Formats: sequence, C-alpha cells, structure tokens
Amino acid sequence: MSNQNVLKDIFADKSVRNKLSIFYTFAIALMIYQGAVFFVIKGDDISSKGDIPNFTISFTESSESFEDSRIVNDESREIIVYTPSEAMFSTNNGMGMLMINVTYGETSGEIGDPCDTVSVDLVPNSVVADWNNENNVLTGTSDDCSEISLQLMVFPGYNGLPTQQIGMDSTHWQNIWTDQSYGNGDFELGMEVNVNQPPGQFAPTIQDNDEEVFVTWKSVFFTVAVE
Amino acid sequence: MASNTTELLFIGAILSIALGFFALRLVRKNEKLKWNEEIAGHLVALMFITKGIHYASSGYFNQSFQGDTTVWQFWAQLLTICDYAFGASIVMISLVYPVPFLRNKKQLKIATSIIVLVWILIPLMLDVTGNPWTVFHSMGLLYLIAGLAWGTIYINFRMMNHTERNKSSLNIAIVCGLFLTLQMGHIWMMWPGMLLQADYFYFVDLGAVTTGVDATSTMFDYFWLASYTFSIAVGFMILAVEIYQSINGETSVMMYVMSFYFIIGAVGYAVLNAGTSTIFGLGETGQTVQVLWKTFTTQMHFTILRSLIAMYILLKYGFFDINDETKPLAKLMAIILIVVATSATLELVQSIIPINQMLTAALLGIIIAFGIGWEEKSFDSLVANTADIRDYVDKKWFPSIQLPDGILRKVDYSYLIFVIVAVLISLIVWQTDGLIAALIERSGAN
Repeated sequence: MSNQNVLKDIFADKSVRNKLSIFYTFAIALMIYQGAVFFVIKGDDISSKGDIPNFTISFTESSESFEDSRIVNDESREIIVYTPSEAMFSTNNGMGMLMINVTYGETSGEIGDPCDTVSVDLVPNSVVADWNNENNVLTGTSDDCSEISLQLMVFPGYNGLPTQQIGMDSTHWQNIWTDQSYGNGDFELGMEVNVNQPPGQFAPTIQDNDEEVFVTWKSVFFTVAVE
Repeated sequence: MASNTTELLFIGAILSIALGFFALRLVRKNEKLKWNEEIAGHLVALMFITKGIHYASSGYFNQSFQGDTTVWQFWAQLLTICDYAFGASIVMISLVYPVPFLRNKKQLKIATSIIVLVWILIPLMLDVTGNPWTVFHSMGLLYLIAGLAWGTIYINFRMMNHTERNKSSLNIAIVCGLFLTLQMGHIWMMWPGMLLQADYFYFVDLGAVTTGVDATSTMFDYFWLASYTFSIAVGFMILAVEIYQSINGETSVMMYVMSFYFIIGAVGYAVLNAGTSTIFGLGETGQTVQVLWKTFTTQMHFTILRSLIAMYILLKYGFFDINDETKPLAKLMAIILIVVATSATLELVQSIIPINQMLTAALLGIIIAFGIGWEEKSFDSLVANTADIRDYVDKKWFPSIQLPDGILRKVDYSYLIFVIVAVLISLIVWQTDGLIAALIERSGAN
C-alpha cells in the first residue's frame, strides 16, 4: 500500500537519506558560489556588460610621394597616370586621400611672355574612391604660374581627425576602417595647356608652343587605432 | 555560421514535430499504459510538438532581422510562449514518471493547477499586459523542479541497498538520467565555465537584443543562471554516482552519457575562452571557432539529440505497444528521425568543411544506409526488450489512480487551443508593437 506522501518513502532509508542530503547540500553550495560570483566577484562586469561602449578612433598617417612631369603642346591634352605602391597598402589599413600639386613656369625665354594657361582634372574612373565627396577638388586652372592643388577623398568618411563611435566592439570598428580596395588602381590626371603669346615678339628664333608641367602626387595612407 | 545555427533550428523543428505527432499517435493506441505512463507519454509528445514550433519560431526570428519589418516581435513572442508549454510539460512529467510524486487525485489536481498557473497563466497575463520576460515568468524554475524530482528518484534507485537493487530499479535510475540528459545536456557542457568564472557562462543573457538594449533585468539573468548552476550540480551528482558504481563493477549507460557531456564541456572551455587566437590553427578568428563549437555541441544537443533521446526513451520504456498494426508507424518514425538527423549533421559538416559534392552525396548514402541498417537490425530487439520499471520494485512506489475517461484526449485538445492562443497573442503583440515598447522602456531605464 502506497503512503500518500512520497517523501516519507524516499527518506525512509537512512543510507539514501544521507546521499540525498549530500546532493542537496552540494547543489546549494554550488548555487551560493554562483551567486557570489554573479553579484560580487564579477558583479561590476556583469552589470556593465550591457553598457554601450564608446570608442575613440584615431589615425596615424604615412604618405608616399611621386613626382612626374610632361611637356604638353599648345591646345593638346595629356593624361598622366599614377599608381600607389602595393607596399603602402600592405602596411596600412587603407588609403585616406590623394593630393596632387601641379606647378609650371613660363619657359619660353621670351621677354614679357605671360604665363600660359594650364588646366588639370582628375578623371573619375574605375578606381574605388569617394568620388562624390563634397571636399573633393578634381579640377583646377592657372594662368599666372601659380600652383594648382587637387584633392580626392579616397576612403569614405576619412578626414584624418580622430572620431568618436558608440556601440559594437573594437574589432567591428577596426574592420570598418580596414579596406585595401579604396585607391588601389591607376589614377589619371588630364592636363591641357593654352599658350599665351607675348604682345610683341623680340626674339624670332624663340617659339612658345608648349609648356612643361610638373606633377607631385601624394597619397596619404593611414593606420587606425581603436581605443 | 549564423545561418548554420538557423538551419539547425529548422532541422530541430522538423525532428521535434515529427517525433511529437508520431509519438502522440502511438501513445494513444497503447491501451496497456498505466496512468502515469499515459500522462508522461502524452506530455512528451505534446511537449515536442510545441518545442518544434518553438524551434521554427526561433529560426524565423533569426531570419526576420534581414528585412526592415517588425515581424520579429511575432516570432519572439511565439517562441517564448511555446517554451511555456515545454516548461509546464516537463515539470509535470517529472512529477509522475517514472515514479509518481503525486500519489492521489487531489495531489494531481493541485500540482496541475499550480503548474498551469505558474507556467502558463501568469506568464501569458504578463505578456498581454506588456510585461514580457520578467522574474515572474519563472524562467529556469523548470530545471529546478525537474532536476530535484528526477535527481532524487535517480539517487534513490541507483544508490539503494544492494539487497533491493535489481533490473527495474536500475531502469528507473537510467530513465531519470536520460530525461535529465534530454533537459539539461546542453547546460552540462558549460560546467567549467561556471566553476572557473568564465564570461561565456556568467554573461548569458536571454534578453540581450544588442549592445545597450537588454530586455531582461539582472535578477532575471541571475535566476536563469542559478537554474543552470543547479542543473550542473545535478550533472555532477549523476557523474559522481556513475563513477562510484563503475568502480564497484556496476557500470551503466549513464556513465558513458555523462562522460561524453562533461568531456565536451572541458574541451569547450578551452575553445570558448580562446579569444581571438585559434587553438586549432584554422586561421579563423576566435569568434568563428566559438560559434562553430557551439553549433556542434550545445546547439546540436538542443535541436537534434533531444529528439533522439526522447525517441529512445519512448521505444525502450514501453510507451508504444508495438504490434502488427503499430509496428510500421513506429519504424517509420525511427527511420525519419535517424535519416533526417544524420543527413542534417552531414550537411552541417559540408557547409563548414569544403568537401566535394559527389563525395558528400556518397557519404550521405552510406550514412543513411547505416541508419536504415541500424533500424532493421536493432529496432526489433529494442522494442522486444523493453526496459521494465515495475516488475521487481516495491509496489508502494506505484500508486494507482483512476483517471477520468477521456481526460488525456482533453489534454491533447488543450495543447491545440494553447498553440492557437499563442499565435493570437503573438499577433496582438506584434501589431501593437508590444515588445518594441517594452524594449524602449527598459533600455531607457537602464
């Protein structure tokens, strides 16, 4: 005949009772330990695990410069090509921007010969870059032998200044700012020269029908630090 | 890897729902079951059907974030409510099977009322009133109650006096161990994390939607982890008992089962704590190896092994009356479960290790042939040699209760109604943006 209370049957045997007591005591001890770890030992870590982390993303820049020149005939167009070196891509997180300085002088030797008009433009092509960035300066003209400066923002969002980001983890932000595809390819700079003749020609042997244009390419790369 | 986890959830859904419906049909055809076996059989089947809906909802929940919709609320609510049925069922099973804690109709009614109130009515009321995932949802209590019940019976029958020990007492202990494995196996794999204060255990947070958005309170997380800790204590207890009995020459299948889960747990500690460095030299990041590990261990137990363990229990412990009429159905169930489980596992391996497709097709064929071969060879011996739990055990452990006629059919229909209600509540919560409102409120409070 069954007892109506199952516990009486379970705890009737002293040997089983002792073993069950060990089990219950062990379970309670383990739960006390877990409670101590949860609220005391790891309490701060656990309570702050849901906090939104704040990251400062800073950049260390390094640059590569390359100089080139072309003699451009009057009213003709030349294309000059520049390819950033693979070594820079492999040692940095990405290419931030490309700066181009174009210089020239009046080299005809004619007295009173005014500077020629030089127009340059960075041709948007298949190279991956932030071609539509509002800070880009893709064209420039000079008729007084002054320097022409162009600028292309290559990595979207990059301006070289530290930024603050909220959320995710450091690996996420490191990955966001690591991409070797931006700027990896051949940049093309178009150049045109329009020769400005002097008002009167003093030396008949001197002809002003071209100009030598000097181009300095400067590609700015960056390594990113997330803290 | 995230997609593998989702695919595994859908596989789990297919296995659970298939097992549930086949088992329900076979249990209903078995007229030899005692009252407590009848309740347990029905509840195991119904529990797996609702768990299958839970797995499918979890899979759709994972996928719902890909689109710009708020349908994730529907799936989140549905998977949560389906878990209430799992909790209520497994607690009730632990109180009636294999040895009933409830010994008369009055105790049965009181226990049923408390379970329905604590696991179904209170959580549903909280959900519809815009208070999801509170401490009053009693999440984790199912591990405590079932662990206490089956753990107590396990010790009682596995450690009873030598003179009283027999085949039936061993079978009672083993079926308790198997039910505990089914319920807690994935938690046992976390034992080193709990002892060694690892983040992968102590940072477990069911409500962490994303960084900074936590749907659950610290107390909710604590209670959930406390239930995990209790489960690990139960696991240690079984392991210790099995080692002790093995030393005395009385090794049982539970020794191998427990060793498997605890060794996986030990290796898992090294993997899950590896950080970004990979211990296998795969060249992957630590996160990938960790997700990979979880997919093949805890997630695999959760979705595939649970159904297989339940199928073994149902076949081995006589829940099905296998005769000429029911044998084809039982065989079909076994084949479907084994073939789906093995092919899904192989597909999972194939998605991670780039094996030639022809080779995997051949491997799949071999594995399925082995699966069906096992079924042909072992099915008959399995169902012919069912594990008896009553014959040699004192009758005091098995009180007799006359259940009202048709009560279990009503239980079956009540689960159907429960699922319909779950879908309706989930729809309401989704359409009223109930979960979004709760999340905004709780993240603001945090």
